[in-house]
Amino acid sequence: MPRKTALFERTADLMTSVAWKEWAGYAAPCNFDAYSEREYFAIRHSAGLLDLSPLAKYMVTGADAARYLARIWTRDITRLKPGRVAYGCMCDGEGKLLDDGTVACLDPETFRVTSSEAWLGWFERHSRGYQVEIEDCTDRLAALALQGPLSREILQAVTEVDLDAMRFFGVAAGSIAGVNGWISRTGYTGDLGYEIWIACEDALTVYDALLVAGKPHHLEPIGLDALDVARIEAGFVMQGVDYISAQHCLIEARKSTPEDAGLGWTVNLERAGWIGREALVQEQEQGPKWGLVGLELDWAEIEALHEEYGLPPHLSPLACRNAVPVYSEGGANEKPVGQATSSSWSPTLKRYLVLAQVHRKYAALGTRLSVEYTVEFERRTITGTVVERPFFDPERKTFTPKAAPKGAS
Amino acid sequence: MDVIVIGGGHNGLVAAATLARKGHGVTLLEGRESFGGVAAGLLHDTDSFSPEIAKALDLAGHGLEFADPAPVFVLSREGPGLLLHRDPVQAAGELGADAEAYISWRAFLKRVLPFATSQLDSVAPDISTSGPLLPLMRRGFAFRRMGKTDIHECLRIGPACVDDTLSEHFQSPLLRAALSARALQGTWMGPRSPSSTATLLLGEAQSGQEIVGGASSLVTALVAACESSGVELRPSSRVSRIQVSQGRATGVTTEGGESLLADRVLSCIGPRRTLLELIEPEHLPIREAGQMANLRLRGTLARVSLRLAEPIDYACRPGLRPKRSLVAEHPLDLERAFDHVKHRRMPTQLPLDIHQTDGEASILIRCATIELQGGWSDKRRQELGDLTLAALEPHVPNIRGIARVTRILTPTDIAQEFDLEGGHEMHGELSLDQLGPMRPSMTLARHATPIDALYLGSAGIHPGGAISGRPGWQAAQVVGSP
Amino acid sequence: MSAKGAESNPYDAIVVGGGHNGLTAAAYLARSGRKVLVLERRHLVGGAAVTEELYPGFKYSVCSYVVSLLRPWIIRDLNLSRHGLRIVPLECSYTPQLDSPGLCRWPDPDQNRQEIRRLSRRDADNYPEFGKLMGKLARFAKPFIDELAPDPTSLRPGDLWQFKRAADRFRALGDDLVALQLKLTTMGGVDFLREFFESDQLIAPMSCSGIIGTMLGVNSPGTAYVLLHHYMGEIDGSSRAWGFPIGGTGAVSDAIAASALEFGAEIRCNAPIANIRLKNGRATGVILQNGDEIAARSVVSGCDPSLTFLRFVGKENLPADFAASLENYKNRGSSGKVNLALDRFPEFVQRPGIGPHVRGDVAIAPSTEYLETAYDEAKYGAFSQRPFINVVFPSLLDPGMAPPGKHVMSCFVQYAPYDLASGAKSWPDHREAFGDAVVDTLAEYMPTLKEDILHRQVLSPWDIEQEIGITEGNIFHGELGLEQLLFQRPVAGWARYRTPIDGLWLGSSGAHPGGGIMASPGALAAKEMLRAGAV
Repeated sequence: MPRKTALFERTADLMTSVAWKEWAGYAAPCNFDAYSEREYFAIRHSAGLLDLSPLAKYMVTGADAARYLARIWTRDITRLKPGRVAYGCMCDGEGKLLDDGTVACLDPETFRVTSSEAWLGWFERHSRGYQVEIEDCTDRLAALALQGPLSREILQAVTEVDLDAMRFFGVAAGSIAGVNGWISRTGYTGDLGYEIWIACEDALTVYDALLVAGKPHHLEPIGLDALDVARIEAGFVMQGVDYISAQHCLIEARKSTPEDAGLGWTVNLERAGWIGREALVQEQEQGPKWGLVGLELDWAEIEALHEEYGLPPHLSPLACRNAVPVYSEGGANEKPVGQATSSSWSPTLKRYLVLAQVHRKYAALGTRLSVEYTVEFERRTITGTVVERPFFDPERKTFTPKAAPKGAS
Repeated sequence: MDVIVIGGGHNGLVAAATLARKGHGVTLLEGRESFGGVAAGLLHDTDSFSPEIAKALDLAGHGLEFADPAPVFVLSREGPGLLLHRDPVQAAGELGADAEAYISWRAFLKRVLPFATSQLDSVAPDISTSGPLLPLMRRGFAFRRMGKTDIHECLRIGPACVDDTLSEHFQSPLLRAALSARALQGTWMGPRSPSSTATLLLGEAQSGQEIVGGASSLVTALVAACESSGVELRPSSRVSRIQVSQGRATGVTTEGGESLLADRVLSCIGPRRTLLELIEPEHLPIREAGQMANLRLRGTLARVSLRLAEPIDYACRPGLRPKRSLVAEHPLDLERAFDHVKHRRMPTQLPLDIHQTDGEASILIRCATIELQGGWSDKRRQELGDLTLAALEPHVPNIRGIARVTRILTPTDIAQEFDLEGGHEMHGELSLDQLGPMRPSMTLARHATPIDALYLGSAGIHPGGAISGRPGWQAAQVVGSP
Repeated sequence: MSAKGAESNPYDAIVVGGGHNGLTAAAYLARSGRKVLVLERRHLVGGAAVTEELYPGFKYSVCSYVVSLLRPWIIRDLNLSRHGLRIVPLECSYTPQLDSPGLCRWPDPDQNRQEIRRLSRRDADNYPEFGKLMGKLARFAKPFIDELAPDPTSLRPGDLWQFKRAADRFRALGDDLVALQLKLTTMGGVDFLREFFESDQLIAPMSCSGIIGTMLGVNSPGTAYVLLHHYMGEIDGSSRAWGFPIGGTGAVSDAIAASALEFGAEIRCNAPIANIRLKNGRATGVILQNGDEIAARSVVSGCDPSLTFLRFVGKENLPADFAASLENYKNRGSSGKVNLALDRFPEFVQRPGIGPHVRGDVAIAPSTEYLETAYDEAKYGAFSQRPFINVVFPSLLDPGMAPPGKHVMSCFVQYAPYDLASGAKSWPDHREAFGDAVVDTLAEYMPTLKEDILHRQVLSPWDIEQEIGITEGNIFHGELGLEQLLFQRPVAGWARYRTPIDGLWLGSSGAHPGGGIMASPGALAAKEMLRAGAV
């Protein structure tokens, strides 16, 4: 029975569809209209506003906060400076992925951690010996994502934080629509965008102010369906879809290491003392087994395949989260080499994109693989080629108008 | 090889002497001013100290002597009490109707205990899933040699409560109370708790002759053995950190700020404190950290010391003046006492374990919980002394006239004075899940730790026990091996 | 395949006692074409699994009141659904508190999380992980309840093979689960749960499953492993751990009886037996209390071991060591039952209404301290003044159990020790006081309860012994302690349904895998008899 976020009354009001889904125990809009294209295009061409409140949020404070987070997180949080955010992941003792998320350094002894699901039990279990306080602030802290090329202008209209100077993965405190909160330049769309962190009781004020400020810029409230397409274009993995948290796996084979899930870059095996490292060092010696790749399906093949059945290609506006087998090149009679976990038609790139976990030896750029594809209840395959991730990577994502000269923090 | 031994209790002393005799350079660091830990002035019973270790360390050469254990006198308000000898033939005269049953019980123990003793005299088996099967099977076959009937009996009574087991054999409540009391030492159980028979068997498997002069003679001999074998004994040196570098223990830092390096470090203090407090948390794998966080060590021991103007003379048998006596007339007295522990209450009727020497008596109370609701205060401490005298009064009507309470140690005092986490004299409760290859946990029972060159060797490790010396001895064998 | 000389030996097997296990054994034997007779002392079959209308219009599941591990393969083999068996899941588990809304554990993980978060956020996070671990261990343990129990001292190839397989599966669990399994089998419920949870209001109701039917407290070592039962149900194809049979638990017995009858078994009620007939140390039939003798090739007992061997066979006819072991066998009934007919639904003051929270079971288990105190009283021979009570409202799950708008309330109560300090036989003098203690306890949570009671039935363990026949009224036919489980149930060396008396078999809850409405002992006994060619 999903609960309501602080913004429920507004989002429910704005919705013409009744399309809710459950997200981490909260009701979250899938889309506001019968379809989600307008919301998707808002993300890519103007801006979209999403209620992020269901995200699990924790405040970690204390003299050992950084050292403690460096223990449970794959990133070295002791080197994270105030005003910066680090994306990373969390492993169990066997080096298997539990979850991914961000750690924001608000001051040297105060950090805000976000994750896809609740981990207080895990956090507290491993806090013994550290001078640290952990507060689950999921229920008291609301979060908004303002994403898209015009998000800076819209947000700047309601805040005094100098957004032109805020770098990618920066975070700053300030007043937003008259209430105190935090703005971070982070997001899940691979576009220019911000996330806003405010107390639940202020959430409506900020949300409404942004809608007003955004109106001339065609700001749209967006739901999870549009976000899903955008995050696949950005090549972001999703816990529970592209990898399964080791916490939920009943069998070892379903668990992933960070490397398996394409998060190897968040891991530094040289650094000692973080949970999962010893196991991952061993794995490293044996060579990782899996890798996450971005595949682009051959559009001509898709068209030809549908043609066989006398059908036009069907382009769903929704991303697909049903995992399907991936074979080595040559079709379903070939060796199974992995699974495609997320896929979507990219309305911007006009390409069919797939995120897949495949055997390492098939992960090299340019490798051609066969991905299961069903037409008229028959299982066929389409050739997919390993391409660079992110699929979509606009310059505006990281461009900072008033960037401080390099080297100054 | 240079070895630092942390903790100069009897296990630390045994380990240090053993390692030094093998030719290693040993430094023994003790936080208190004197050595011996719980053997120096807390616990009475010395009958579980291993004679093999005494022999190997030539403790006789340092003045250690063994003798047959003194009988325990179980007080009664209704009859002449029971003077219980371990030897069944000696005991028979006192036991009346139970004499025969006691003889056959001892005979049963004699058949089944050698297997248990052999397990106590060796390093715990590796029961991890990656461990070798052959040694386990060998132990299995050794167990099988006991024969079907005895195996069935062991497996039947082991998980049962000691009260049921003893009631099947004996009528005398005094006898059952005396045997139960022994089974409950170091546990968080009452005689009605399932698996208390297992701890009874464990206790019996360790017991033999006792040390002349008591535990303090043992400490004296062990210190002498250490000195003569070249151990550097450093009292008043409490360790605050075990230094770890790249997954390997390299030495220790003392509270005084001194840093000592060594090739290997053996901790003979509690495993939980060693791993959770002396090591930076980054160095300990989460599995072991979790195991230690879950280790149960709820102390229940308190002690009251009396100065006696004249020897205690028990009303139920005047003139006997036993060295050791027990106030517990029925197993259910012990159960009621444990009820107070369970509910974290102040006990009302105290079962007492009395050890009388010239002009003094040391009385152990095993139902005072460290978890007492509201905590132990001065008032509660006084109350404990009063309760002790009150429990003695029916048996020694003039007790208030001849005895003066000189010292009361609550569980909290014991925790502080003897540097014992949880006030637990064995660094971990005796319970089936914290025994043998699970003591203190599946991956730590074999003395080695996930940190290279760091070893564990206190009573918190297999085979545990009170003053037995076995954990220290076996740890020294492991530490001393290349 | 009837025996030679059908005249003098007309039955292949006589089943003594028509409880659910006896009926199951009969059905399996009849299903294989054997001529079977079931003899039941009472006027109806079912033993402790009966539904009776003791007050007009109100049906009580007199003793046993919920079903958890009734083996799905038995339901399939005996076509029980066709014979009317319908089990609806209990929706949740509610533990009221006097001064707060208490805790309701729901089948939906998110709803559950919200509930537990009110007590402890950490516990809410740990709860699913706990469930996952228990699920894995339940998967390991499950084969043990569907197979014969191997004897560790045996060198029979079959036993060794079973051991090897169990050992292989055990090691395949991995170190952490191996350690957890060892802890689970030896630890007390509360200690075990404290390794995962901090909230006493959560631990208390969870720890209850370990004490049901035993003379142990929630802190007693060895009570943790029963936690697995909850998770076994889930991997068993039933959606929840506990279910309620439409028509009351008697409906389970009726369905099995109908199946047995269809397979050709004969069932005779009002036929109490006096003895099992022995000839040259062999069971050759039974002697009824009316003096009739009925011959059979084999006799299988659906009664508890003490009743079967010490009463029906006689100590003098048993090998001395077997008799001695049986005398040490712990029965120790510890629970009673109070059934109430109610004029209207007695709402809980802290969670009013007839909502989903009362459509499951309600546990009066406000704290571990409360439960342990209840146990302490029983330990010294008194019933608990404030007992642990497990309440189910059958009329909410099956409207046929009471007239429209009225309700029946089934209260399983612990502790009610069989051996009162004043002796078991003094129970009639204490029965109503015991009933009052139960109603008084419940009325603290449901203030209107007392004024709505139309009829009350109170059953002490002594009453259960008198009425149903189970020795000392132990609902499981003997303590489910480690020392009386697996190859030691009821006696080491005799856990494979055979007995020292040739031709006599034990197929009751006193045999492996034990009590509860599982029907495994009956089914496994019958299968073993057939395999051995004993019928």
